[in-house]
Amino acid sequence: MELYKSEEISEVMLNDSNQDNLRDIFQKTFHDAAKSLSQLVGQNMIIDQYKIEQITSEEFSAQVEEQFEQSYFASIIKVEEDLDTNIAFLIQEEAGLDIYRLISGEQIKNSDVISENVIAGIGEMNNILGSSFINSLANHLGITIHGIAPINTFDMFGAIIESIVLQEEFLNREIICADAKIREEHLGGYDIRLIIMSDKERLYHTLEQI
Amino acid sequence: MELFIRMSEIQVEKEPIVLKTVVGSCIALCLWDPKVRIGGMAHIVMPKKNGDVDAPIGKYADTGVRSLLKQMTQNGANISRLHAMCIGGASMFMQSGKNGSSIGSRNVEAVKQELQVLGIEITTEAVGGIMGRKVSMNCNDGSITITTLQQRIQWNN
Repeated sequence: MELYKSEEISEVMLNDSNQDNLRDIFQKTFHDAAKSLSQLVGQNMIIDQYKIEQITSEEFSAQVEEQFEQSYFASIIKVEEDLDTNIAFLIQEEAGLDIYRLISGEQIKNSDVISENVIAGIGEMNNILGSSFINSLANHLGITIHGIAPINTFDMFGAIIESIVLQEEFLNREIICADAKIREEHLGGYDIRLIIMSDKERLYHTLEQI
Repeated sequence: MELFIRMSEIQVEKEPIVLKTVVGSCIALCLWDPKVRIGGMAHIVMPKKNGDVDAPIGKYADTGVRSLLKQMTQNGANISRLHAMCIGGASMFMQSGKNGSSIGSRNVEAVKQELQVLGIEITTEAVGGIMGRKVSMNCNDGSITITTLQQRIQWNN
């Protein structure tokens, strides 16, 4: 696990202690979400890759542009009052269908058509992951977090990312971006990403209270 | 050959290549001059610059549209011949700004306003909705391909 830092000078620099806290908190919350997913699908899901960056929206977008045309199921939870944060769960199309089969027991085939039921089913799984993640984050930060009801969609990765990063509160400033990939421990194969974008100053002040 | 246009980027091409991007609430503004066969694309992110002095010129509608036009005319295009194609401006998660309208709809409005001031008519438009769009423009013939995942979703009645 590494902490990457943007080369640009930040308005608020997280000190070493803040960075350690942040790494620790997000690692634990990601693992809690993975544990919930494991229970849901009956497989051992682990965090495969994980990083935290201080970065601008454009920098983050440029990093992931190779995936922009790929199809993903996504759920977004927006947290406003207590912590300006967007939490996105993104599951690559085939992985989403595999997991839907595991959860529902329905033997759907890969096809050009994605039914609303599949989107809703994967959305429900994401709701459970989201609740688990938010509860865990609130516990570790020692604050109350109220998220809006998750919004579920099936769209191109680039369009989903755009909608996450283009928020008024994130514009023209560095944000904290935590990005993790989840896979099954032995089989691998799933491409599930949890991307957290948070207002740096709000997060900084929260960390100072810990 | 294909060239991907990132957020805030502007690209003008005389060569017969394909400019492509993926937009959600952003706008892919494409200009094409059929006589000299020059095409350009701007990936516009937000409506107005509002004092963001360090921002790339293509980021905002109020500077990006004019910059794309300038680069087109510097390369031999004529404003009177231009075909303008405006794609994007979706409100994917219905997120609203402080004034109640979505970033997507404000982007569409801002780009259209700039084009109107410059006297450029929109010839092709695919804006709004709740889903992202993949946009490809062939700079040789000006053809535009727009792909969404909308047709892949079977909604319950």
